[in-house]
Amino acid sequence: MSDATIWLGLIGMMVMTLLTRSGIVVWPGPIHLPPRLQRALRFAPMAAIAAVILPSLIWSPQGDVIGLLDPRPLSAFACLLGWWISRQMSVCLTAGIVVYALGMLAL
Amino acid sequence: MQDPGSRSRWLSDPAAAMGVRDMVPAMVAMVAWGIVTGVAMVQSGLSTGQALGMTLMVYAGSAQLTSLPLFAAAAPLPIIWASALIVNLRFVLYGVAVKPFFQGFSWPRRLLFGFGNVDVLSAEFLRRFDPTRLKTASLVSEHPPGFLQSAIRYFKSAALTIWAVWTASSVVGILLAQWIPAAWGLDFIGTLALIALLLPMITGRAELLCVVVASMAAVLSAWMPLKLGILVAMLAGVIAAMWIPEAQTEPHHE
Repeated sequence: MSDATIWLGLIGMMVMTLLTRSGIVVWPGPIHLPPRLQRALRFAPMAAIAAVILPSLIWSPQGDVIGLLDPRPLSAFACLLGWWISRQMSVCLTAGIVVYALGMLAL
Repeated sequence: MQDPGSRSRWLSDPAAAMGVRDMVPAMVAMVAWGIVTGVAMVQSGLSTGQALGMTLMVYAGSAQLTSLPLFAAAAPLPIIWASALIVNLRFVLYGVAVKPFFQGFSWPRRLLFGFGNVDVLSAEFLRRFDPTRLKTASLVSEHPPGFLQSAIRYFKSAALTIWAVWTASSVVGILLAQWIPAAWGLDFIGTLALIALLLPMITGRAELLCVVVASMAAVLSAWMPLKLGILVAMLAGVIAAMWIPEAQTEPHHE
Protein backbone atom coordinates (compact mmCIF):
# COMPACT_ATOMS: atom_id res chain seq x y z
CA MET A 1 0.00 0.00 0.00
CA SER A 2 1.29 3.46 -0.84
CA ASP A 3 1.62 6.07 1.89
CA ALA A 4 -1.21 8.11 0.37
CA THR A 5 -3.53 5.09 0.34
CA ILE A 6 -2.81 4.35 4.01
CA TRP A 7 -3.52 7.96 4.98
CA LEU A 8 -6.73 7.88 2.97
CA GLY A 9 -7.65 4.70 4.84
CA LEU A 10 -6.99 6.42 8.17
CA ILE A 11 -9.07 9.46 7.23
CA GLY A 12 -11.96 7.19 6.26
CA MET A 13 -11.66 5.36 9.59
CA MET A 14 -11.75 8.69 11.42
CA VAL A 15 -14.95 9.51 9.53
CA MET A 16 -16.42 6.19 10.75
CA THR A 17 -15.51 7.03 14.36
CA LEU A 18 -17.12 10.47 14.04
CA LEU A 19 -20.16 9.03 12.27
CA THR A 20 -20.85 6.40 14.92
CA ARG A 21 -19.81 8.31 18.04
CA SER A 22 -20.84 11.87 17.16
CA GLY A 23 -23.46 11.40 14.43
CA ILE A 24 -26.45 11.07 16.72
CA VAL A 25 -25.11 13.67 19.16
CA VAL A 26 -24.57 16.25 16.40
CA TRP A 27 -27.96 15.53 14.77
CA PRO A 28 -29.91 18.76 15.42
CA GLY A 29 -33.30 17.44 16.44
CA PRO A 30 -34.00 15.78 19.77
CA ILE A 31 -34.71 12.06 19.70
CA HIS A 32 -37.85 11.15 21.58
CA LEU A 33 -37.64 7.73 23.12
CA PRO A 34 -40.04 6.11 25.56
CA PRO A 35 -38.54 6.68 29.07
CA ARG A 36 -38.38 2.93 29.57
CA LEU A 37 -36.11 2.55 26.54
CA GLN A 38 -34.09 5.67 27.39
CA ARG A 39 -33.35 4.20 30.82
CA ALA A 40 -32.54 0.76 29.45
CA LEU A 41 -30.03 2.32 27.03
CA ARG A 42 -27.99 3.36 30.05
CA PHE A 43 -27.09 -0.31 30.35
CA ALA A 44 -25.69 -0.51 26.80
CA PRO A 45 -22.02 0.30 27.57
CA MET A 46 -22.07 -1.89 30.68
CA ALA A 47 -23.37 -4.79 28.57
CA ALA A 48 -20.70 -4.18 25.92
CA ILE A 49 -17.96 -4.23 28.56
CA ALA A 50 -19.37 -7.43 30.06
CA ALA A 51 -19.42 -8.91 26.57
CA VAL A 52 -15.65 -8.44 26.22
CA ILE A 53 -14.73 -10.13 29.50
CA LEU A 54 -16.10 -13.69 29.54
CA PRO A 55 -15.02 -14.65 25.99
CA SER A 56 -11.47 -13.45 26.75
CA LEU A 57 -11.39 -15.85 29.73
CA ILE A 58 -12.44 -18.78 27.53
CA TRP A 59 -10.51 -18.14 24.31
CA SER A 60 -7.08 -16.64 23.67
CA PRO A 61 -6.87 -13.83 21.08
CA GLN A 62 -5.75 -16.52 18.62
CA GLY A 63 -8.92 -18.54 19.29
CA ASP A 64 -7.52 -21.42 21.37
CA VAL A 65 -9.44 -22.62 24.43
CA ILE A 66 -7.62 -21.38 27.53
CA GLY A 67 -8.51 -23.92 30.23
CA LEU A 68 -9.24 -23.30 33.90
CA LEU A 69 -5.71 -23.46 35.33
CA ASP A 70 -4.35 -20.67 33.17
CA PRO A 71 -3.30 -17.35 34.81
CA ARG A 72 -6.12 -15.61 32.95
CA PRO A 73 -9.18 -17.32 34.52
CA LEU A 74 -7.32 -17.64 37.85
CA SER A 75 -6.59 -13.91 38.02
CA ALA A 76 -10.16 -13.08 37.00
CA PHE A 77 -11.29 -15.26 39.89
CA ALA A 78 -8.88 -13.37 42.18
CA CYS A 79 -10.52 -10.11 41.07
CA LEU A 80 -13.92 -11.51 41.91
CA LEU A 81 -12.72 -12.76 45.29
CA GLY A 82 -11.00 -9.44 46.06
CA TRP A 83 -14.18 -7.55 45.27
CA TRP A 84 -16.30 -10.02 47.26
CA ILE A 85 -14.17 -9.64 50.39
CA SER A 86 -13.30 -5.94 50.33
CA ARG A 87 -15.85 -4.19 48.09
CA GLN A 88 -12.89 -2.03 47.03
CA MET A 89 -12.11 -1.58 43.36
CA SER A 90 -8.41 -1.17 44.15
CA VAL A 91 -8.22 -4.46 46.08
CA CYS A 92 -10.11 -6.22 43.31
CA LEU A 93 -7.74 -4.95 40.59
CA THR A 94 -4.56 -5.49 42.63
CA ALA A 95 -5.55 -9.07 43.49
CA GLY A 96 -6.13 -9.81 39.82
CA ILE A 97 -2.90 -8.24 38.59
CA VAL A 98 -0.76 -9.91 41.30
CA VAL A 99 -2.19 -13.37 40.55
CA TYR A 100 -1.79 -12.79 36.81
CA ALA A 101 1.81 -11.60 37.15
CA LEU A 102 2.72 -14.53 39.42
CA GLY A 103 1.03 -16.91 37.01
CA MET A 104 2.88 -15.50 34.00
CA LEU A 105 6.22 -15.65 35.85
CA ALA A 106 5.59 -19.24 36.92
CA LEU A 107 4.97 -20.38 33.35
CA MET B 1 -23.03 26.98 26.38
CA GLN B 2 -23.98 29.22 29.30
CA ASP B 3 -21.20 27.67 31.33
CA PRO B 4 -20.44 30.13 34.11
CA GLY B 5 -17.49 28.07 35.29
CA SER B 6 -14.18 29.43 34.14
CA ARG B 7 -11.48 26.88 33.47
CA SER B 8 -10.11 27.03 36.99
CA ARG B 9 -13.57 26.55 38.45
CA TRP B 10 -14.33 23.45 36.52
CA LEU B 11 -11.13 21.78 37.54
CA SER B 12 -11.90 22.27 41.22
CA ASP B 13 -15.53 21.29 40.74
CA PRO B 14 -16.59 18.18 42.71
CA ALA B 15 -18.31 16.71 39.63
CA ALA B 16 -15.15 17.16 37.55
CA ALA B 17 -13.06 15.58 40.29
CA MET B 18 -15.49 12.66 40.50
CA GLY B 19 -15.21 12.23 36.74
CA VAL B 20 -11.45 11.75 37.05
CA ARG B 21 -11.74 9.47 40.10
CA ASP B 22 -14.29 7.23 38.39
CA MET B 23 -11.85 6.73 35.52
CA VAL B 24 -9.11 5.09 37.63
CA PRO B 25 -9.85 1.45 36.67
CA ALA B 26 -10.53 2.60 33.11
CA MET B 27 -7.12 4.31 33.06
CA VAL B 28 -5.43 1.01 33.90
CA ALA B 29 -7.27 -0.58 30.98
CA MET B 30 -6.30 2.30 28.69
CA VAL B 31 -2.62 2.07 29.66
CA ALA B 32 -2.55 -1.67 28.94
CA TRP B 33 -4.48 -1.53 25.68
CA GLY B 34 -2.94 1.73 24.53
CA ILE B 35 0.52 0.19 24.75
CA VAL B 36 -0.62 -3.07 23.14
CA THR B 37 -2.34 -1.19 20.30
CA GLY B 38 0.69 1.04 19.80
CA VAL B 39 2.96 -1.98 19.52
CA ALA B 40 0.52 -3.77 17.18
CA MET B 41 0.28 -0.78 14.83
CA VAL B 42 4.05 -0.60 14.40
CA GLN B 43 4.47 -4.37 14.10
CA SER B 44 1.83 -4.59 11.38
CA GLY B 45 3.99 -2.32 9.24
CA LEU B 46 2.63 1.19 9.79
CA SER B 47 5.31 3.89 9.98
CA THR B 48 5.72 5.80 13.25
CA GLY B 49 3.93 8.78 11.71
CA GLN B 50 1.04 6.69 10.42
CA ALA B 51 0.66 4.90 13.75
CA LEU B 52 0.58 8.25 15.58
CA GLY B 53 -1.92 9.53 13.02
CA MET B 54 -4.13 6.49 13.50
CA THR B 55 -4.16 6.84 17.27
CA LEU B 56 -4.97 10.56 17.14
CA MET B 57 -7.49 10.46 14.30
CA VAL B 58 -9.31 7.17 14.75
CA TYR B 59 -9.32 6.94 18.58
CA ALA B 60 -11.14 3.60 18.59
CA GLY B 61 -8.94 0.73 19.80
CA SER B 62 -11.04 -2.19 18.63
CA ALA B 63 -11.53 -0.70 15.15
CA GLN B 64 -7.80 0.04 14.94
CA LEU B 65 -6.82 -3.51 15.88
CA THR B 66 -9.37 -4.95 13.42
CA SER B 67 -8.01 -2.81 10.59
CA LEU B 68 -4.33 -3.73 11.05
CA PRO B 69 -4.42 -7.13 9.29
CA LEU B 70 -6.45 -5.48 6.51
CA PHE B 71 -3.81 -2.78 6.00
CA ALA B 72 -1.08 -5.42 6.12
CA ALA B 73 -2.89 -7.43 3.44
CA ALA B 74 -3.48 -4.26 1.35
CA ALA B 75 -7.25 -4.78 1.44
CA PRO B 76 -9.39 -2.36 -0.62
CA LEU B 77 -10.16 0.83 1.31
CA PRO B 78 -13.96 0.37 1.27
CA ILE B 79 -13.45 -2.94 3.09
CA ILE B 80 -11.29 -1.23 5.72
CA TRP B 81 -13.84 1.56 6.16
CA ALA B 82 -16.82 -0.81 6.31
CA SER B 83 -15.18 -2.96 8.96
CA ALA B 84 -14.38 0.14 11.04
CA LEU B 85 -18.02 1.18 10.72
CA ILE B 86 -19.30 -2.23 11.85
CA VAL B 87 -16.89 -2.55 14.78
CA ASN B 88 -17.91 0.97 15.88
CA LEU B 89 -21.66 0.45 15.58
CA ARG B 90 -22.10 0.01 19.33
CA PHE B 91 -21.17 3.69 19.79
CA VAL B 92 -24.41 4.72 18.07
CA LEU B 93 -26.39 3.47 21.07
CA TYR B 94 -24.13 5.37 23.49
CA GLY B 95 -24.77 8.46 21.38
CA VAL B 96 -28.52 8.01 21.66
CA ALA B 97 -28.18 7.56 25.43
CA VAL B 98 -26.05 10.68 26.09
CA LYS B 99 -27.54 12.97 23.43
CA PRO B 100 -30.05 14.73 25.76
CA PHE B 101 -27.16 16.17 27.84
CA PHE B 102 -25.57 17.98 24.90
CA GLN B 103 -28.59 19.51 23.15
CA GLY B 104 -27.68 23.04 24.28
CA PHE B 105 -24.23 23.07 22.65
CA SER B 106 -23.04 24.18 19.23
CA TRP B 107 -22.46 21.41 16.71
CA PRO B 108 -18.64 21.52 16.85
CA ARG B 109 -18.85 21.04 20.61
CA ARG B 110 -21.30 18.16 20.17
CA LEU B 111 -18.90 16.63 17.65
CA LEU B 112 -16.14 16.74 20.27
CA PHE B 113 -18.35 15.37 23.04
CA GLY B 114 -19.34 12.49 20.77
CA PHE B 115 -15.72 11.83 19.77
CA GLY B 116 -14.76 11.47 23.43
CA ASN B 117 -17.65 9.17 24.32
CA VAL B 118 -15.80 5.85 24.50
CA ASP B 119 -17.07 2.66 26.19
CA VAL B 120 -15.56 3.09 29.64
CA LEU B 121 -16.62 6.73 29.92
CA SER B 122 -20.15 6.09 28.68
CA ALA B 123 -20.58 3.24 31.16
CA GLU B 124 -19.57 5.30 34.21
CA PHE B 125 -21.26 8.49 33.02
CA LEU B 126 -24.65 6.92 32.36
CA ARG B 127 -24.50 5.13 35.69
CA ARG B 128 -23.98 8.46 37.46
CA PHE B 129 -26.33 10.59 35.37
CA ASP B 130 -29.73 9.36 34.26
CA PRO B 131 -30.78 11.22 31.08
CA THR B 132 -34.46 10.79 31.94
CA ARG B 133 -33.90 13.30 34.75
CA LEU B 134 -33.29 16.05 32.22
CA LYS B 135 -35.98 18.25 30.81
CA THR B 136 -34.56 18.19 27.32
CA ALA B 137 -36.99 20.68 25.82
CA SER B 138 -35.35 23.61 27.53
CA LEU B 139 -32.15 23.90 29.46
CA VAL B 140 -33.59 26.77 31.44
CA SER B 141 -36.15 24.56 33.12
CA GLU B 142 -33.40 22.13 33.92
CA HIS B 143 -34.31 19.93 36.83
CA PRO B 144 -32.97 19.30 39.38
CA PRO B 145 -30.89 22.48 39.37
CA GLY B 146 -27.23 21.91 38.71
CA PHE B 147 -27.75 18.37 37.47
CA LEU B 148 -26.93 19.20 33.86
CA GLN B 149 -23.90 21.30 34.77
CA SER B 150 -22.49 18.59 37.02
CA ALA B 151 -23.03 16.07 34.25
CA ILE B 152 -21.21 18.22 31.70
CA ARG B 153 -18.26 18.87 34.01
CA TYR B 154 -18.04 15.20 34.89
CA PHE B 155 -18.12 14.24 31.22
CA LYS B 156 -15.50 16.81 30.17
CA SER B 157 -12.98 15.89 32.83
CA ALA B 158 -13.49 12.15 32.43
CA ALA B 159 -13.31 12.35 28.62
CA LEU B 160 -10.11 14.42 28.70
CA THR B 161 -8.55 12.03 31.22
CA ILE B 162 -9.32 8.94 29.18
CA TRP B 163 -8.22 10.57 25.92
CA ALA B 164 -4.93 11.74 27.45
CA VAL B 165 -4.14 8.37 29.06
CA TRP B 166 -5.03 6.43 25.90
CA THR B 167 -3.04 8.73 23.62
CA ALA B 168 0.02 8.80 25.89
CA SER B 169 -0.04 4.99 26.25
CA SER B 170 -0.38 4.50 22.49
CA VAL B 171 2.60 6.78 21.92
CA VAL B 172 4.62 4.77 24.46
CA GLY B 173 3.62 1.57 22.63
CA ILE B 174 4.55 3.03 19.24
CA LEU B 175 7.93 4.35 20.36
CA LEU B 176 8.93 1.30 22.45
CA ALA B 177 7.42 -1.31 20.12
CA GLN B 178 10.56 -3.43 19.74
CA TRP B 179 11.15 -3.61 23.50
CA ILE B 180 7.68 -4.80 24.48
CA PRO B 181 7.25 -8.49 23.69
CA ALA B 182 3.76 -9.93 23.24
CA ALA B 183 4.76 -12.67 25.69
CA TRP B 184 4.19 -10.24 28.53
CA GLY B 185 0.48 -10.69 27.94
CA LEU B 186 -0.11 -7.04 28.70
CA ASP B 187 -3.46 -7.07 26.89
CA PHE B 188 -5.01 -9.22 29.57
CA ILE B 189 -4.30 -6.55 32.21
CA GLY B 190 -6.89 -4.54 30.27
CA THR B 191 -9.45 -7.30 30.75
CA LEU B 192 -8.71 -7.44 34.50
CA ALA B 193 -9.22 -3.67 34.70
CA LEU B 194 -12.56 -4.05 32.96
CA ILE B 195 -13.58 -6.62 35.59
CA ALA B 196 -12.62 -4.13 38.32
CA LEU B 197 -14.62 -1.46 36.51
CA LEU B 198 -17.68 -3.65 35.98
CA LEU B 199 -18.10 -5.27 39.41
CA PRO B 200 -18.85 -2.02 41.30
CA MET B 201 -21.50 -1.23 38.68
CA ILE B 202 -23.56 -4.27 39.61
CA THR B 203 -25.66 -2.53 42.24
CA GLY B 204 -29.06 -4.10 41.57
CA ARG B 205 -30.94 -6.96 39.99
CA ALA B 206 -31.26 -5.21 36.65
CA GLU B 207 -27.48 -4.66 36.40
CA LEU B 208 -26.78 -8.25 37.43
CA LEU B 209 -29.24 -9.64 34.89
CA CYS B 210 -27.83 -7.35 32.19
CA VAL B 211 -24.24 -8.46 32.85
CA VAL B 212 -25.11 -12.17 33.04
CA VAL B 213 -27.24 -12.13 29.89
CA ALA B 214 -24.69 -10.04 27.95
CA SER B 215 -21.83 -12.34 29.01
CA MET B 216 -23.70 -15.46 27.96
CA ALA B 217 -24.81 -13.92 24.66
CA ALA B 218 -21.21 -12.87 24.03
CA VAL B 219 -19.95 -16.44 24.47
CA LEU B 220 -22.68 -17.81 22.19
CA SER B 221 -22.00 -15.21 19.49
CA ALA B 222 -18.20 -15.22 19.80
CA TRP B 223 -17.96 -16.93 16.38
CA MET B 224 -19.27 -13.83 14.62
CA PRO B 225 -16.78 -11.68 12.67
CA LEU B 226 -16.02 -7.96 13.22
CA LYS B 227 -17.05 -7.96 16.91
CA LEU B 228 -20.68 -8.35 15.86
CA GLY B 229 -21.01 -10.68 18.84
CA ILE B 230 -20.49 -7.69 21.14
CA LEU B 231 -23.34 -5.87 19.43
CA VAL B 232 -25.61 -8.91 19.85
CA ALA B 233 -24.61 -9.27 23.51
CA MET B 234 -25.18 -5.58 24.13
CA LEU B 235 -28.68 -5.67 22.69
CA ALA B 236 -29.45 -8.81 24.71
CA GLY B 237 -28.18 -7.14 27.89
CA VAL B 238 -30.20 -3.96 27.31
CA ILE B 239 -33.39 -5.92 26.59
CA ALA B 240 -32.80 -8.03 29.70
CA ALA B 241 -32.35 -4.89 31.81
CA MET B 242 -35.60 -3.48 30.47
CA TRP B 243 -37.33 -6.54 31.79
CA ILE B 244 -36.67 -5.81 35.45
CA PRO B 245 -39.05 -3.14 36.68
CA GLU B 246 -36.54 -1.76 39.23
CA ALA B 247 -34.43 -0.48 36.36
CA GLN B 248 -37.26 1.92 35.54
CA THR B 249 -37.95 3.33 38.99
CA GLU B 250 -34.72 2.98 40.93
CA PRO B 251 -33.81 6.35 42.46
CA HIS B 252 -30.48 7.61 41.26
CA HIS B 253 -27.80 9.12 43.36
CA GLU B 254 -25.13 11.27 41.82
